[in-house]
Amino acid sequence: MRHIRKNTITAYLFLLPWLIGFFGLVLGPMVSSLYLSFTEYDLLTAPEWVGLQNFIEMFQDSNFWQSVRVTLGFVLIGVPGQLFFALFIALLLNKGLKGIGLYRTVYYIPSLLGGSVAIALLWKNIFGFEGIVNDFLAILGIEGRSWVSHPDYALYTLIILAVWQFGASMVIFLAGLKQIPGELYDASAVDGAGKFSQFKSITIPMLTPVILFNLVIELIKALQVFTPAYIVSEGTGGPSGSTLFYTLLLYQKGFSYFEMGYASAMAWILVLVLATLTALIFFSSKYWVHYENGGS
Amino acid sequence: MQIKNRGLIFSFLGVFLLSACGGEENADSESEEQDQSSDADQIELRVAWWGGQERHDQTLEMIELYEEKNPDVTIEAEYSGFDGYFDQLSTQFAAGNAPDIIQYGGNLNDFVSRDVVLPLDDYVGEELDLSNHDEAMVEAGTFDDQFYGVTLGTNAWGVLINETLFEEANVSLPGEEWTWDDFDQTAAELTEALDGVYGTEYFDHNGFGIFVDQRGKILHEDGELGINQEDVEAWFSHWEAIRDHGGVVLPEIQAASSTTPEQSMIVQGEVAMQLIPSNLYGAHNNATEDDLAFHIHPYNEEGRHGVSLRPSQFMAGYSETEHPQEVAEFLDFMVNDPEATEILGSNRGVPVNAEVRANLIESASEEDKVMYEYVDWVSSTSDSPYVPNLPGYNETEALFQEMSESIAFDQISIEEGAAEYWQSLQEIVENNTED
Amino acid sequence: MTWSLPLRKFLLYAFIIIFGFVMLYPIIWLLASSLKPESLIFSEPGLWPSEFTLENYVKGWNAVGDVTFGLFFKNSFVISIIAVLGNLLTCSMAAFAFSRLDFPLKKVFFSCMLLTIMLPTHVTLVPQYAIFHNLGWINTILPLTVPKLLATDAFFIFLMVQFFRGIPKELDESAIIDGCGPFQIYSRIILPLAEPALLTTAIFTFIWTWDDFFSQLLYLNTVENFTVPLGLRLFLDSQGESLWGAVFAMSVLSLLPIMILFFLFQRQIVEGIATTGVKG
Repeated sequence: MRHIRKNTITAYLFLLPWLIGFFGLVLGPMVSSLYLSFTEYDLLTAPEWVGLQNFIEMFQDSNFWQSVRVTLGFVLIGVPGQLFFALFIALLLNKGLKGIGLYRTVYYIPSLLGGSVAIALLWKNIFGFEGIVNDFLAILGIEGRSWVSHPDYALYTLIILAVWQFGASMVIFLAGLKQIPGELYDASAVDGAGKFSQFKSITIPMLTPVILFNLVIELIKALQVFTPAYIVSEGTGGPSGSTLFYTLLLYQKGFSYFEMGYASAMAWILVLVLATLTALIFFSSKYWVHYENGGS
Repeated sequence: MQIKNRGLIFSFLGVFLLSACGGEENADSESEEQDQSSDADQIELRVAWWGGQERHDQTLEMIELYEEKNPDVTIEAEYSGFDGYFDQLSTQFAAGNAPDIIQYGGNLNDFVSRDVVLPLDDYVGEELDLSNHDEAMVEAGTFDDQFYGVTLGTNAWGVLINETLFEEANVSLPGEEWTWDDFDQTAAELTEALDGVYGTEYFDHNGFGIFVDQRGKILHEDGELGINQEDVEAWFSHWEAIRDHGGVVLPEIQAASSTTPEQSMIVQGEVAMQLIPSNLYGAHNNATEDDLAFHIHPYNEEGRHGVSLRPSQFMAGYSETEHPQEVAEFLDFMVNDPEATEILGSNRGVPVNAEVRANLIESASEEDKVMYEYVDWVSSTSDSPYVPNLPGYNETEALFQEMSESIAFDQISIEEGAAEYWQSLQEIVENNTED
Repeated sequence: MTWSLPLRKFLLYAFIIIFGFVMLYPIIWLLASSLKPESLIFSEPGLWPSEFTLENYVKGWNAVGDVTFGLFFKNSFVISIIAVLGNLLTCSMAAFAFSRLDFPLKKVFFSCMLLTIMLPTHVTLVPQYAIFHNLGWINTILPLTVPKLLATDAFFIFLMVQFFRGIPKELDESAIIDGCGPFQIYSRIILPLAEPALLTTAIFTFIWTWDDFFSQLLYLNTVENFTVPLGLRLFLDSQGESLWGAVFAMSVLSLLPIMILFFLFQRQIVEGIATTGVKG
């Protein structure tokens, strides 16, 4: 009995900084944003309780549904694309090639640029009317377009931008690969396993906790995607709403259009969706994620 | 529900932290101590603006001068680029922590209507002298018969012309009084003659205001829209025609361009004509080696150009400031003091004070002279009333752009686009004027 | 797989190099643009500058008034380093509790922790600002650093939880037999073995703090406190004249520290653990 209590105290000691941060800095703002989602709030005057009006308005708003469509398009192509890329390159770069450190750095460079102001110009320089993509197409005799600013293609250029910034997932995969004990490979090599069967029976299973992490995080990040569109379209979500991501609309509503109540309502709908999806992934993880000795 | 300090709501919800470490009391007593330790009569004013390097340097110099002349006032300068400026400002308002003096753009009306801007009527004629200011610009800072903000610069829209490209295309420069038909024809000829360059950009929201005036209408007045759906349709059809004749740049090129002078289509050599406000003439000129000229906007058939003087930026006070009188004094200094205005020059447009203008024009650069002359000319030829921006400025402008793009990209018809714009416009205006 | 080894190696290198160029293009472009005179940046289409100048670097470094970019670098370094130390310590502690210890409400707190990642930050900015305002912390680095000392970056907690769970539990058990308590298990077993995760946390925290614009804009009001991202935006006025050359030049400079840092760290991530050796 005393033993248990001591363990609990120890655990809470480890958790103490997080508990202070959560209750002191994080929970309050979260609860107030939940409260604000039931109000009409323009940031400048006091919020006014309006019940479910924001939610009702939202579901009747064509911009809202446009942003849902755009975001889903991004998620369905962007997340698998980026994860696949990151894992592929990580596996490639995990080999002991000469000068590999330099390559790893080079591959991380796009991610270093992050939300830099230069990205918008760069993307026009690549995917604009006189961009280098069109220069290549011209060699093939194809007349290009301004991909970055055409409603039919703009979203895809942003997906490419996101996939191109695959560095963070790559590093996490690399770190995960390195944590796999080398003995496992040695032992299976003694058993006569080939490279591919090692990959299947050791690498992938041992990497599943990290894959789970990347999957959940990439999903959250993708549904919250904001920066690429904010920078490239200068916050408009244009042309004609074709890159109006969910969070971009939320930001416009909250800060540019003085409708923070509506923005908060949007945020909590997103939380609801993300929590459901994450719960499903965690539930399914029992069947495919391998923890050493089935850690709790 | 009257809550004076809006921050209180959040503090209440963040009560865990405050009770946990009692930080609030500490912070307060600390800052009080600081106040007492410094000179007791010292007044601190926080001044916020956005801009580029030139404006920062000039404004800082002006502030230094002000502090020299007013030793009892310390100015805390809070300046940044344009990115995020208004997001930061709104957050500060929400927490009741906004600067005492704030630079606004065309969205001043949206802040006035939400009671965060200091009414200046009590100080006009005393601390704040407006007697030499253009009437139209005083009116621009006036809402519901209260004066709220001094205009830092006067502007007028006009057409920027790339003379180098005109010459290359062998197209004659437009005459003094050109009509929309001349414009249409010139644009088409330019596109025809030049490889990869189009005659003109599409004029968008800013051009629409001028167009409405040319139709003899007033965009809005006292919260009532003065236009109808037909005016919107007429605008889109008008441009559809110019587009059909070949003069207008591809919508995807326009969509990729940016409002910054350096990345504008005319600087990038994509169009030969573009609608710009007069204070940006110099910035465009500096960004290219081509010869650019500033020209009057096309007239309608009755010989009306529809251009009116417009404010570039405002300087205004925070309604909760503790030193409203000093705020008024500072504003007065910024727009009336001969030395201060000389330092500030015309970075924010043509100064509103007639005396200041006369003083500055002598030493003005070639580019600035063009701007001064144009503003003077508009001022003497225009009887178009000053129309403030639509309420919900950001939203109405974004909506207009979205509809324009949808039409230009053939995603919807002109009728549908005009109808959708018209309906949403009414909702936005209603949302932003109820009070 | 009948290809000979040399051919396979050749193809691998060819792929890595071509692909590397695509990744490198932005830096080359940025560097080239930063060396062009202001008036050519947007009107000259080619990558190679027809005229070289270092003017942009001089102009950019001298920022505004008597404040130079050196100060912005210093401020950014201070904030980033505190953030790294804070995240390393407090996030790993929380992750240790979540992955290795049992306590009441564990599942609830874990869900809460994940929930904090899911809520878009835009809607919590204003209330959070109000808290810091009431604490009198505006225009200091406290709002940017104290949260890191309180493990509010749930991303890293989750990351470390996933890595800690990959470390065999027998190690804990044998350590307990040797008389180790939770603190020893945390400091002597988990932390050393999770070095890749800790390094990842350190480098991401540094880079993301270094690049972060909006919260720094919100909390740092006067130019003496400005950081690199704020300094860069000082040159940009989308409503007027901007100094793009200076922006590019200072962007290049601001990328240097994080590029060097990444280069040094990635080696550690990949090579560090190999020598430690995990005994299963």
